[in-house]
Amino acid sequence: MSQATPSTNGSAPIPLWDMAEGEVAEIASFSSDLADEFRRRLQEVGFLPGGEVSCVLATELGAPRLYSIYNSVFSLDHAIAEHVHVNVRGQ
Amino acid sequence: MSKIAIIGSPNSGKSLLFNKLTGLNHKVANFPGVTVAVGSGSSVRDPATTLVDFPGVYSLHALTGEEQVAIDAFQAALKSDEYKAVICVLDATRLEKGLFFALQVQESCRQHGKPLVIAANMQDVLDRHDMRFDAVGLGAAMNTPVIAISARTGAGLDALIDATNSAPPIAAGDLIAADDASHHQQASALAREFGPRGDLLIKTQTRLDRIFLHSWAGGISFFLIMLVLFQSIFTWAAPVMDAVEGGLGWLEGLVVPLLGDGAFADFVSNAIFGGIGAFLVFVPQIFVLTLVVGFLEDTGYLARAAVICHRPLRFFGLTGKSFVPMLSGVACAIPGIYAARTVESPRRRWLTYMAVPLMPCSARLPVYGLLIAAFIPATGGLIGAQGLAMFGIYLFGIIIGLLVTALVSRVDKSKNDDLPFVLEMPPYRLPGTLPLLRSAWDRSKHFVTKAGPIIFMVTLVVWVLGYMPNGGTDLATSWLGTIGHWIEPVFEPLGLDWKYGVAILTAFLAREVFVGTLGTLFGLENADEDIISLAERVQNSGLPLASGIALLVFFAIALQCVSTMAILAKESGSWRLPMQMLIGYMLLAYTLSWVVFNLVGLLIG
Repeated sequence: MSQATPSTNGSAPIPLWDMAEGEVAEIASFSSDLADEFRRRLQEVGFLPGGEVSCVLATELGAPRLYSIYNSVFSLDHAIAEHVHVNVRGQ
Repeated sequence: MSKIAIIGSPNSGKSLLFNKLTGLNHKVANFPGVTVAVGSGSSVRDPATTLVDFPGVYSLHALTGEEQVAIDAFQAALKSDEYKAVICVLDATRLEKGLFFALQVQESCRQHGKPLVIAANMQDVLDRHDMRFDAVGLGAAMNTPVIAISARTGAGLDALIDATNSAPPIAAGDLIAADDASHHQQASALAREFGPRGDLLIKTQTRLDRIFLHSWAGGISFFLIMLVLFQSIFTWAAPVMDAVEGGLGWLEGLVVPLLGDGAFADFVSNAIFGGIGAFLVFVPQIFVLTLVVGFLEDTGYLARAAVICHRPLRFFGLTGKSFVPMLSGVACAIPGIYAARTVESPRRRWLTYMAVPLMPCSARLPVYGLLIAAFIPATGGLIGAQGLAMFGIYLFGIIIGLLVTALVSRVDKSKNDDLPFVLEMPPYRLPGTLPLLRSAWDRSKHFVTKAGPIIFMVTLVVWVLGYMPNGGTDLATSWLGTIGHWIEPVFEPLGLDWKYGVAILTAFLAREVFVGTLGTLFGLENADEDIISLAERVQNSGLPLASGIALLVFFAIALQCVSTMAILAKESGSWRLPMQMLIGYMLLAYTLSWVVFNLVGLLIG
C-alpha cells in the first residue's frame, strides 16, 4: 500500500497516466496539446474538471490503463491519459 | 404509419431493447459507404408503429464523419413528421453519462417539437444488487417521463410504449440546461439526487478485469479465447463448408447431365457451379465468425482484448481492436473485413482493411502446398524443411501486413477521422442468443446479396475468356491462353512462362484456382486432389527454385481474391480502396518477387 506523497496533495497536478493503481484524484485540467475534439470526447464520457477519477487498473508493459469515473470504467492509452492533469487525493 | 426513434449511448442496452420491442421482425440497413447501420421493425405491441434503432453515440456532436452520418440521420428523423416520439435509452447503473446525452437529446426534441421518453435500462441489475433509483422523481425534475425498464427481462416495456403514446412534445419551458457545460452540471446533480448509490457493480467488474487484464493470467486467457475463435472459423465451419461444396457437387451432378454438352452445359458446370461454389463456401465462415465475435463483443470481452493488443499494434498504426479482424484474416479475409466493423476509428479501420488481406488466408494454403511440395525437399526429423518453409511464408505475410500499416500510418499523417483510445469497458454480461444469431444471419445475407453479383460477373468473364473461341476444349489456345502469351514478358523476369501467367490471372477468382488451372495446363484432371502429381510435373518442367520462391512471395502479397475486393468495396463505400490495394499490392508483390528471384539466383549460382 503506497501512500500518495503529500507533495501531490493540492499542489502540482500530475498526468492521469502517472496515477498509481487504487489512487483517487480530482481532474484539474487538460493539456493544451490535446486536440479539441479529443478533449470534447473525454468530457462527453465524463472526464470533466472537478470530477473524481480513480485508477482501477494499471498493468505493466504500457498497456492502456483503466480509470473509473461516475460509475463507468474507461480504458485510456498513454497518448491520451498524459494530457489529462489530476490532483491526487489519496487511496 | 408512425415511427418511434430509439437512441442511446453505446453499452446502454439500446439494441437489446430494440430487439425486445420488435421481436425478430426487423431489418438492418447500412448507410452507403459507412459501417453505420440503422435497424427498423414494427413493434410487437403495436404493429402499426415502426421502431427505428439509431447507432449508439456518446453525444450529438460528431468526432468522425461516420458519427456525423449517424447524428444527421437522427436529426433528419426529428424533422420528419413520420416520427411521433423519441425514446432515449440510458443505463440506470451509470446514470450520469446517460443523462448528459439525454439532456442533449431533450434539447433537440424541443427544437423539433417531439415528445421524449427516457428509458432507464438495467432495472434487473439494480434489483439484483438491491439498489434503488427514483425514476418518478427524475422524470419530474426533467419534465420528461422516465420509465425504469429491463431490456433483458422485458419489465417496464408496456409502460414505456404507453408513455410514448401519451407524452407531450418537449416545450421550451421543460429544458433544464441549455449548453454543454450546464448539461454536465445538471447531469451530475440529477444523478446524485435520484441515481442509485454505491459502486458495487464496478467492484465485480474490476475483480474480473484484474484476471482478464492481468499481466500473465490475462495473457493466457487471451490466448485461449483467441484459440477458440480461430478454431471456430477453421475447424467448426469446415464441416459446413464441406457440406456446401458436397451439396453443390451433388446438384451439379444432377443438373449438368440433363443439359447435354454444349456451351450452356459447360457454362452451368464451370461458371455457375464453379463460381457459386467458390463463393458460397465463405458463408459458413462468415456466419460462425460473426457469431463468435458478436458473443465476445456482447460479453464485454472484446473491449478487454482490445486493451491487451493495443500497445503492440499501436506501433504499426493499428489499434487493439484490429487484432480480431487480422486473426480472422488468417482463416479468410472476408470475415476479417466484416469483423473490422468493431474498430470505431474510421482511420484505424481503414488501416486494418489494408492489413487483413495480407494475412495468410486458407485459400493460399493449396498454392503454398503445391509450390513447397515442388521445390522444398521433404526432410525427415522433428522439424522438416517443408514445414519450416510453410511457417516462413505464413510469417512473411503477417510481417508484410504489419510493415505496410506501419509505413502507411506514418506517411499518411492526416489525423482526420481518428478517435482517441478512450474505450468504455462494458460490464461483463451474458449475451442473448437470438440477437447474435440474427446478426450472423444478416451478415451472411449481406455477403450473398452484395458480393454475389460482382463475383458472378467476374466468373462469367473468366469463363468466356477460357471457353472461347474453341468451345472450352483447349485452355492453351483459348482467349485466356492468348492473354497468357501476351503477358508472358511480364512474368519472364521471374522465370515464369505463360502457363503461370494464365494461372495467376484465373487465381483472381480465388487463389486456390491457381492449382486447378495449372493442373489443366499440365494436362492433369483434378489437380486439387492430387497436388503431388502436379508438383512432380512442375518440377520436371524445369522451373527453377528461384521462380518457385518468387511465386510464393507473389501469392503472399498480391490481392488475388475478387470476393475480398467486393466486400472491401461494400464496407469502405467505394471501389477506390480495393482498387488502390489491388494495384499497390500487385506492384509490391511483383517487386519483392523479382528481388527474391534474383537474390536466390545469385545465392545458388
